[in-house]
Amino acid sequence: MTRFSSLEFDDAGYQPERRGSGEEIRNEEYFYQQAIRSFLHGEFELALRNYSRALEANSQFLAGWAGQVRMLIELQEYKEAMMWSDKAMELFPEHPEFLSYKAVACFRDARLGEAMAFSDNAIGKDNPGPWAWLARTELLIKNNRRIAETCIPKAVSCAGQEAALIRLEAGRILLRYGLYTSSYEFLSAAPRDFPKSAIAWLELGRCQRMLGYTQAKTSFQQCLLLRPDWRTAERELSKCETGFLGNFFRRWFGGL
Amino acid sequence: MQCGTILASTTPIQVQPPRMQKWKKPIRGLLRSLRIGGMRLPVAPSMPQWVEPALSSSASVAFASIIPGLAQLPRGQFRSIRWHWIAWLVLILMTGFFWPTPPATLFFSLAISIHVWIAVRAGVLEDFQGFRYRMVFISILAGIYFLLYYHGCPLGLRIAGVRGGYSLVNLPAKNIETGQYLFGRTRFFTLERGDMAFTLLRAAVNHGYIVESSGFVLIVGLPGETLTVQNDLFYINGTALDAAQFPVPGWLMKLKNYTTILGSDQYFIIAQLRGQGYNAGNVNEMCIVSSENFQAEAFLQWQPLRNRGFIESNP
Repeated sequence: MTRFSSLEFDDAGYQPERRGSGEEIRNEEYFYQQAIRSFLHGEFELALRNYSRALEANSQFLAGWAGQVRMLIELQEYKEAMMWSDKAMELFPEHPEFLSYKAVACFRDARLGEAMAFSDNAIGKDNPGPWAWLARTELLIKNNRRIAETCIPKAVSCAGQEAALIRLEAGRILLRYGLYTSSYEFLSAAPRDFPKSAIAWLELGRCQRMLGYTQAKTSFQQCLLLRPDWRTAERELSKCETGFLGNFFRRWFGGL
Repeated sequence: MQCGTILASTTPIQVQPPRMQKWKKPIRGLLRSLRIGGMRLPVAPSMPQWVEPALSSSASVAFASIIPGLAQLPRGQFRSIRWHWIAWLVLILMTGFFWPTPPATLFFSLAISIHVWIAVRAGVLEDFQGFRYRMVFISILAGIYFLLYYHGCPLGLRIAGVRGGYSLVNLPAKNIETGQYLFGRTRFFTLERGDMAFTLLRAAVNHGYIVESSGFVLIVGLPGETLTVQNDLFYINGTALDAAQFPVPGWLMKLKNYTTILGSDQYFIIAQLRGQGYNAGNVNEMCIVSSENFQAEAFLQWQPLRNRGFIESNP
């Protein structure tokens, strides 16, 4: 199975194995799809649990380990993400993906020196993979924006069937560090790739709001349709009610 | 084994990731902010390599578990016994609160039981297979921990400069009766008339019968004074003392005219004694105590609970 081969999680891309009665076989692929679905729904805790279940079914499943570490980073548990990357590298020694996750965890935990060392190590491997390039983007984005942005096409080009997810992640990284116009390029495509993903709509809405676009409200409403009562989306939606002046200034100065 | 055989580890791989406790989140956030602000924070020291092998035998675990939870701490397993630890702490506090009454004995026993259980959870029984061996070892361990508490707690109090003991005198003016439990300070105290002091008493009374006891007694006469017992009152240098503050014990009343001159290092104390037939020699032997025999000055009345509080200074 290729990773992220079935990211159209409610569409026909994923054909689960079935027993005679029609019940899905609960193997690592099944839980992996559930985890991806949870992640795209913005439910990181649930995604983490599903990744763990996938690993319970098959502890050699690389995508499960990678997913767990990504979810720990999403949950801002950076120290645990580092520990778990080390644990994964006992099974997959010096794997560039886990090195890059360690780089991201260190960077977000304000350990910049260590982060750059891990990233250098990951990029130095053969076929570092899209996540290593995305990590590189994140590390360089503040000090060398131009080089950082050149890392994203590299990540997308080597992503293969994961390209849609990598574009979404690239957009999220750019948005996180305030490059709204650049992130809009990626996030505007995200709802096309994942029309039923709450997080894709949320991130697009955030980007639109920061750029002062009135469509932000629609994006958040769409997000809330997909995941009602999501407090993050409700908060973002309430921020859209700032009035004409707020939108005006955000439209003209938000993208700077 | 044939060529091409794949050797697979039978040890299950841990697939549940570690999680951050919620209370750590603001602390980590603060530290992150400080790092972003350019502050160089010291890195927490990692556990030395020798710790894990050192905690691999039952004896070492039992030794480390003298302090409950210490054996779990370096392995990061303290969370698994945290409720036991809290229960142990609560029981220890309750033991102290009710000391030396019978409920305190119950809480004390329960605290030791939980202490032993914490040691068991740390792997103290790893070297012992079989129910009987384990029971014997647990019993020995409980006995060792009991002795440690029994001798360690008084030692700790002494190090802290505190000593407990029973009152040997009735003092209605201070609401103190014989048998009540008091605490005294063992350092930086000066003895004056009316103070209660802890001392060892050993006297040949009651037709040669030896009385040995220790406890808090009342100081009546100071060094160099002339003390007289007459008409159920104490007289110091010819001046009568207040009978409410300095009551003459019943056994001392039977001596009609008792007079003594205290030496330069001698104090006259009173305590309740049972028995009859005391003479002036017995009184001198028992009630005149040199200053070096005093170990503490009472400052706190601990039991009974209704009278708990600090003891008022002497009038």
